[in-house]
Amino acid sequence: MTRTIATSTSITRLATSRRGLFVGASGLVLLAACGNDDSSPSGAGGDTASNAGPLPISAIPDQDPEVLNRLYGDVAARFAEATGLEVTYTPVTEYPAVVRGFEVGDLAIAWMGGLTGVQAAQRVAGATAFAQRNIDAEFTSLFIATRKSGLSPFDDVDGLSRLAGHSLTFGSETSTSGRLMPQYFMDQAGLSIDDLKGQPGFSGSHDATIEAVASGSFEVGAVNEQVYTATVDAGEVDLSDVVVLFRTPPYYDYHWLARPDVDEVYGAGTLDKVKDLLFGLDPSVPDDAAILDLFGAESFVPTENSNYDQIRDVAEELDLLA
Amino acid sequence: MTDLVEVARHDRDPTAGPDRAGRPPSSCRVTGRQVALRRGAGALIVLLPLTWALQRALPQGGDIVNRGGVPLIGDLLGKAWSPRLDGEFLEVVVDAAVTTLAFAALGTAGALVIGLLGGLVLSDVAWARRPPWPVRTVRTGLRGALVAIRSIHELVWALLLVSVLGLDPLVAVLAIALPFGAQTAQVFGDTFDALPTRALRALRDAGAPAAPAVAFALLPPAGPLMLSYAFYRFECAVRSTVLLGAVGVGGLGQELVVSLSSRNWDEVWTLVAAVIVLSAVVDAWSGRLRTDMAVASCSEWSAGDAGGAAGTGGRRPGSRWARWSAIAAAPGLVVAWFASGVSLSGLTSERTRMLAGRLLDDLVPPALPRGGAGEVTAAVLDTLAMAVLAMAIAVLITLVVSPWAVAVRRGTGPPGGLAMRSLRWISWLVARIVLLVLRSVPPTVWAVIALLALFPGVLPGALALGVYTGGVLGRLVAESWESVSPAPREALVRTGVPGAVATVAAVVPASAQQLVTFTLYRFEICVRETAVVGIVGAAGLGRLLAENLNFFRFPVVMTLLIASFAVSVASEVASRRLRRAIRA
Repeated sequence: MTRTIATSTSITRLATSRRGLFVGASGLVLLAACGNDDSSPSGAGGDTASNAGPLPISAIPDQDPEVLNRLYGDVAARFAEATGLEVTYTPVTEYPAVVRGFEVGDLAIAWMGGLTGVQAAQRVAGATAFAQRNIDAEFTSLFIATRKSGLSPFDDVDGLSRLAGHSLTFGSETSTSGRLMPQYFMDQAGLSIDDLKGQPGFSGSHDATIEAVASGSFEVGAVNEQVYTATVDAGEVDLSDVVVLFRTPPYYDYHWLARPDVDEVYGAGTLDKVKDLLFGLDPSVPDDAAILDLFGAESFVPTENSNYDQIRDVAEELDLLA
Repeated sequence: MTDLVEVARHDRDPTAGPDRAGRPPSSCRVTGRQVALRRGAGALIVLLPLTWALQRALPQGGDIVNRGGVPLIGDLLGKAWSPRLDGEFLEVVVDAAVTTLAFAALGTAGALVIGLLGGLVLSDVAWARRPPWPVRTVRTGLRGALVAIRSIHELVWALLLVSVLGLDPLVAVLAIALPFGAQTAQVFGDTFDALPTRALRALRDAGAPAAPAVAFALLPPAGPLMLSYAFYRFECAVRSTVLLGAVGVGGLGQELVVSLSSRNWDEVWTLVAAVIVLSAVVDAWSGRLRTDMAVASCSEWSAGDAGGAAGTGGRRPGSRWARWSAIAAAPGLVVAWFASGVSLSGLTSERTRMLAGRLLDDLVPPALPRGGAGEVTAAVLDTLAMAVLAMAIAVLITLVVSPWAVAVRRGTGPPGGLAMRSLRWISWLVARIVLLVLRSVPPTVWAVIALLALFPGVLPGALALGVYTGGVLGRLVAESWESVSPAPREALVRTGVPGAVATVAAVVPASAQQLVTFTLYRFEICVRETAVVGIVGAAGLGRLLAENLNFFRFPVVMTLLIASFAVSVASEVASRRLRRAIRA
C-alpha cells in the first residue's frame, strides 16, 4: 500500500509545485491509467435517459485544489462510463460548500468527511452513505510537531496535555480528522483550546497544515494520517523538522454520500451502477489501480449511515453540530 | 430608523441644512476657550477609542506574533517577482477576468435599476405635492429596508444566497445588486431632491401625468450625475466581485482562493496583478468620465456631496467620452449577460422557493450562540476594535502617501526647473500606484498574509483591513485635497508670509477637515467590511458568522445578522453626527 501511495503522490506533489509539471504528470497518468477513455460520454447510455442534465459530483477540498481537480476529473470520467450519464465534477473551495451544494441538490453524490457527511445527512433526510475506502473504518489522525517545539512522541491520549502552551493548527473547521477527532482526544486528555498558545489556526486543508508545521509557522498540527503518510512518501515537502507525536485511536471517517433522489432524478439504477463501479475496482487492473491510488486506498467497501453515529455523538459533545 | 435617514439626508445636502443657513457665520462667535475645548474633545474622541481598541487587540499575556510564520512572508513576497506567466495560466486569468467584469457589470446594472426605482420613491420631488399617506408609509418601510439591506456586506449576502440558489452565477449578481442598489437608491433620491424642480412642476401643473413628467423633467438633468455614479459603482463592484470569489461563484476571486489554498504564491501574484490592472482601467475610465462631465469627484460621491453638485451637473453634457460610455453600456451588458451565463430562471424555480422558505424557517426565531450573549457582545466589541485600529492604520498610510498623490495644479506647481517638476510628477505617479495596489489587493489576501505572522484575532484583521482601507482613504483624501482652494495660501504668500507658514495656516486646516470627514465616513464602511476578514479567520462578528454558517446554525446566524445591523446603524449614526458637528 505504501508503495502505491508513493507513486500517486509523487505525481501529486509535483503537480502542486508548478502547473506546467502538473500538466506533464497528469498527461502521464491519463496515458497510463485512462488510456483512450477521455472522450465525452454524455448521453451515451440511452437506457437510463433522463432530462435532469449531467450527474453532479464533488468532494470536500481536504487537499490542494489542483490535486483534487485531477483526482476527481478521473473519477468523473469513470462514473460517466459506469452510469452512461454525463458526469460533472464541481470543484469547491471550502468544506461547508459541499454540504450546501448537496443540500440544495447541486450535487447528487459527494465524497464527504465524517463530520461533513453527518451534517449533510442531517440536512437532507434520507441521504445514504454507501461506500468508503478500506482504510476509512479505522481512520486515524496524527499530531505532528516541529522539532523546535521541544515536544517528543508519546503513546497515551493523556500525553496530549503536554501540548499546553504550544501553538496548534487544525485543518478545516469542519474536518473530521483535522479538527473534530483531534479536538475530541485533546478534550479527553483534559486539554482545552484555551490552554494553547494563541488562538488555534484553521489552515483549511491537510496539506496546508503539514506545510504550516514543516515551516514552523505553527508548532503542532492535527492532520489526517493518510495524507501525512502520502506526503512523507512523496518526499516533496521538507519534513526533516517534523516529528510525529501521537496517533489517535481509530474512528470512521470519509465516505461517499448520495442524495435520496439520485435514481429518481438521474434514472433508475444510477446509484447501483456507481456502487458496482466502486466495489468492483480491482488493484490488479491498471485503470482501477490508478483511481485507488489517487484515493490512497486498496479498495472501496460498503458502509452505512449508522457507522457515523460515533462522529455525530462526538460532534454533539463538542457542540459542533447545528 | 427614519430619523437616521433624515440625519443622513441633512448631512448629505450641504445646501439644505436649516441650521446651517440660519446660523450666523460661526467665526464671529467662537472664543479661544471654545476652540480649546473643541480640540480637547476632538483629541479625546480619537484617543479614547484608539487606546481601548489597542488594549482589546493586545490582550495581556496573550501571544500575538507568531514568530514561526514570519520567514514565510519573506518567501511569499519574494514570489511576487516571479509570477506565473505561462500561456495556459494566463488563459485562465483572462477567462476569470472576463467573468469578474461580467458579474460586476450585471450587478451594477441591477443596483441601478433598484436605485432608480427606490430613488424615485424616496425623493420628495418626484411626488408633486406631499405624497398621500400610503406612499409615506411605504417610504418609511422602504427606507428601513434599504438601510437593513446595505448593512449586510456583499460577501454575507452571497453566503446566504448560496443556500437558496446553489452555485448559480446569479448569486454573484444579486449579492452585488442588493446592497449596492440600496446605497444607490439613497444617493439617487438625494440627487433628485437637489435638482431644480421648476421644469417638473411646470409639466405637472400643465396636467402631465406623473410618469412622463418625471421621465422628461427629472431624469435628463440627473442623467450625467447618474451615469457618473453608475461608473463609480462599477469601480466598487469590480473589487467586490473579486471578494465574492471566497464563496465560489467564479471569476478572479475564486481563482485567487484556489491558488491561495494551494499556497501557489506565484499564481496568487499573477491574479493580484490582474485585479490591479482591471481596477486601474476601470478607475481610469470612470475617473475620466467624472472629470469630463465635471459632476462629482469620487471623493464627493463617497462623502455624499453629490446632491450638492447636482445643481452644476451636466456642465459639459456633450463630452464624447461620456456619450460613448453611455452608448457602450447597453451592448456591454448584453455581452456580460451571455459571457457570465446568468439566467433568471433560478429566481422562479420551485427549488428556490422551497429552499428560500426553508432558509427563512431556519433563520427564525433567532437564537444566541453557544457562548450566550457574552459571545455576541465580545464579537461586537472585537468588530469595533478592529474597525478603529484599521482606520488608524489607514489614516497613517494616508498621511504618509496622500500628500504625494495630490495632482499638481498647472501654474501653481512648485517653483523650480524641469528636474524638480518631473521629480514631483514621478512621486505623484508612485504614490498613486501605491494607493491603487493597496486598495486593489483584496483584503482577504492581506488577511491571509497577516495571519501568517499573527495569531488569529483582532490584530491581523485590523492590519489587513487597514492596509486596504488605506488605499481607498488615501485616494479619496488626495482627490479632495486637490479641490482645496489655493487662493488663501497665495494671498498669504503675497503679503509676505513665508511659504511653509502660509501652508500651515491656510491649507492644513481645510485639508485636515477633509481627512477627518472621510475617515469618519470610511469608518462606517470599515465596520461592515470586518465581515470580510472575519470570514477568512480573523475575529469579530464576521468570524462568528462564518463559524456558525459552517455549522449550519441559522438561528444563530440570524442573531448575528441583527447584531451586525445594529452595529452598522449605530456606527453610521455616530459618524454622521460627528461629521455634522465638524462641519457646523
